Amino acid sequence: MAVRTPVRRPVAVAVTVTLAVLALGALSGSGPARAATSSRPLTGSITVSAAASLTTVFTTLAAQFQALHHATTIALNFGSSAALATQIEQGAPADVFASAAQSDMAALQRAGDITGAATTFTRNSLEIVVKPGNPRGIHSLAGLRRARVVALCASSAPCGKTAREALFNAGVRLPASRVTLGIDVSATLAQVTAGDADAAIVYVTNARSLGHLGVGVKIPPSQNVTTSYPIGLVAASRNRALARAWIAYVLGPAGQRALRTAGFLAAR
Amino acid sequence: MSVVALAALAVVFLIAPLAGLLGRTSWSHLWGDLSTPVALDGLRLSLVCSTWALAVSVALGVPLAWVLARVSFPGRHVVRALATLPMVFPPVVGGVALLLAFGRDGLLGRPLYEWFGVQFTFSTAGAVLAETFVAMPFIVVTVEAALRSMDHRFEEVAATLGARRGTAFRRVTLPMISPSLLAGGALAWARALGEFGATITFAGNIQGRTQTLPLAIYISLAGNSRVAVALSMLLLAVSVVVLVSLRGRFMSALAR
Repeated sequence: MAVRTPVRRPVAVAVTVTLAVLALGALSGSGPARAATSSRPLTGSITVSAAASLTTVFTTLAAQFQALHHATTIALNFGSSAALATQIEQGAPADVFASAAQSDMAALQRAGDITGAATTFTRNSLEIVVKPGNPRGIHSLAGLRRARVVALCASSAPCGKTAREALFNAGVRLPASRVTLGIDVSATLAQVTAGDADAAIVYVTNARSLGHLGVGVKIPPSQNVTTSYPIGLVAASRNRALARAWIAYVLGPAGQRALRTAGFLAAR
Repeated sequence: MSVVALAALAVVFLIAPLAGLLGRTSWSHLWGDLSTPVALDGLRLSLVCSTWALAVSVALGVPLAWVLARVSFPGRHVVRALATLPMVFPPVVGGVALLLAFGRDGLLGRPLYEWFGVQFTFSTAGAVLAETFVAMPFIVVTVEAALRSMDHRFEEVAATLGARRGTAFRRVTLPMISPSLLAGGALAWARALGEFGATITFAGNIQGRTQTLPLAIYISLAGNSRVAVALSMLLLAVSVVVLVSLRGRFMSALAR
């Protein structure tokens, strides 16, 4: 993790600007607290920075949300949770952060970049993905020793941290010379589905949507690692009403149903 | 706005990112960050791969440039266009194309793998291949231009004096086009050194094998941005040294 300096100037400026804007809004009497009220129609646009593993689900949900609220635009920015957190820390204009790990969210909360508490909205665990027909005969984490090249997420990404934990649980050590690193789970999976890697450790939800591009190999619960996904409101957001509405939508029945269909686990 | 003001704006635009990089560099940690295994492996691979890419580009690109400049054959302009295509190709697309050609399931990759067990993906040779793909056009373009602007009667005189084609090329042509070859070589090498998209797409991202400096920068940016900035400074320093040391010849050759 990056070493934090006490003051982040762009963030501080952004926070100051936001506070100033809010104060002005309150002074001019443009309305009471701008909470997500159903009386006011939602308008404008927000940027949602979300973990790469949420790509399919959030893309579907955003289309549904925009169909419900015609005057809104949900711009989606997918990537490794660690990279997204760094972007927000540097003042990238995101309104909502949906992370695949508590640690990246916690780092932003400590820095004051997230307003209020973050809510866990889903969970996910790991699975091995191999080439169609499983030519190397890989049936477990230990079987990865037979692979010439295994794709793992970078150790900064949540899928990288959990994959290394799972390998540790299984007592498997893979030499660095046989590991290719993806910046996020999508890039890691692509090394198998589009490239020449023999196997990848990705999420169960990735293994669900492979089609004919690959086969999933389950990891037993004794070795598997589950990760929780928190969602939070970015402090610098300029459209908190819409951001809160989006978070509510993800936590609500429609969001939860879509997540469950994609293979995500209940938040508990 | 006056021309000078626009020029000043251009300078600010070009310099600001550099200043940003310099401003964020943690000088007290620089040496420590640059002596990590990831940084050292990345530097070594970058130098090895870009040098090999330059060598292959010269070995194949100069003959191609000579044929394009001196031999008239049907479809010459098509070959010329194809040879320079990687210059305008998005590098990631180049990586995908390389995968489809030289991957284990690729057009040429499959027979190579099944008959000889040769696999380019996830190998240092694959990283060299990706870099050569994007670098060679720079050699072809600059050398061909030099050959065209050169008076070919020198070669003819050498031939009438009994020099064979190879000898005439080595003793007469090569010295005359050497400034352009140097300029093209510098450009090709710099392009290979900075290559990212084709490499990560085609050759993967294996530390010590295919993880060149740009890949190491990309992967460390998310987790440890201080190291990423340090590596960027290193890459920048190498490029500046080459550019400055070649400046004079480089610019005059490009201006032809």
